[in-house]
Amino acid sequence: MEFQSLSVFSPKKVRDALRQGRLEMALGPFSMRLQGADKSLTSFLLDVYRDAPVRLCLEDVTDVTIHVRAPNFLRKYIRRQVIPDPGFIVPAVPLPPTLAPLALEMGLNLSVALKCCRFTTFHAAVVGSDKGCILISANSGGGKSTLASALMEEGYRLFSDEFGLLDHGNTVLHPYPRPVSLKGQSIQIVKNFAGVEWMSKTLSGTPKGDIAYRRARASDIASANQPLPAKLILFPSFQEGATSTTKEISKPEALMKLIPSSTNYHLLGEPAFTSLVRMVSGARAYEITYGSTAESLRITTELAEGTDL
Amino acid sequence: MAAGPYSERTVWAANKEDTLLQSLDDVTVAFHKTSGDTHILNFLSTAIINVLTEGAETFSSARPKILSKIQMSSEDCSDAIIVATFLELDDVGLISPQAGRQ
Repeated sequence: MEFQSLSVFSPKKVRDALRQGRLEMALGPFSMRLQGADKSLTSFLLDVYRDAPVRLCLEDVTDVTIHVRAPNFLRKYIRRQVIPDPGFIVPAVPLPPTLAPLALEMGLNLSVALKCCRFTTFHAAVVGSDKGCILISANSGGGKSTLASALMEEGYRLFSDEFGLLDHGNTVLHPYPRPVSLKGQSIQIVKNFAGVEWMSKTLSGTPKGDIAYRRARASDIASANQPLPAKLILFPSFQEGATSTTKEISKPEALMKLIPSSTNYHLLGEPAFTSLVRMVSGARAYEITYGSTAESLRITTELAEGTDL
Repeated sequence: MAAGPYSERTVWAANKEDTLLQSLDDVTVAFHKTSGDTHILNFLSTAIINVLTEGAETFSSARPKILSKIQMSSEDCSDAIIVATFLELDDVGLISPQAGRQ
């Protein structure tokens, strides 16, 4: 069965396939089998993943399997809760069924972070032009998702808002264009420039406060099999009201800053080291401090122009 | 990881199978396979590892080779600096004293 855009299927077919665990989605280098019975999950997928290629029939072994399910028998019926089950044991905070979409996204992130050995994975946002990528590495709250969303408005392709997937063979970054996860004030900021039609409903009361997702565009998904080399590596830091600063850092320093953001560098060892050195060799790296999204966008676009991106 | 104390007779070696070296800008980065750690090496550390990769040496026999590699005299690069660097490299496992040869 061929993959088709999720939007071509009726909600009932999607819901049935999700319940029976036979919804297979292909995004970039990963195929994902999704399962869950909650209405909120079906609605979320139909909205936020509407352009993602899926088939409602499990024909292959998939890279990732996520079952959004109750943590135990009791919580399936009484004071219902859900957790993401990626097929291996991970600590997961049980969530109310209305937050099943968050459980799904958390489960997908955990699976890629902990199971993927084909690529060196970095916790980073990545966007690309037709010449190369910008890899944005920041701690939570550093503004990488907001900046990635802003760069999308400037015409950059969304590669990923969570992962840099570094290929060991040719040192390119692979797209994995899942929706951009936005928290707190970033939700309204991105709504303002992307438009409300590109945003999911806001999930309130999550362990991380309010969360909403900015949908990947059909063009991002259509080009998800076109990896590109990193040309620019950014380490942004948001400080309320700060004067903007830009500082180029050496390649070895960039290397050492990226290693802690990798979820599998020490597991993979030699191929991760070799490919990371190659990636850093071919890119320029900067630390930027900024006080607003407009400033981070201005700095980044200037640096991108200087890097021929 | 340091096994000290050491003497002038201690024979040091670097296992090239265990360490990957790559040049990056004007430094060398090293990946130590056993620990999984990555290190940035200055030119002296790189020279020490390169000399000890070519063959096990005592400090005294390695010193002139190291100075030759970095093109410095013993006045410019004192024994104290080289010894301190030996010990730092030993600490992180990039070089080690040879068993039974101290």
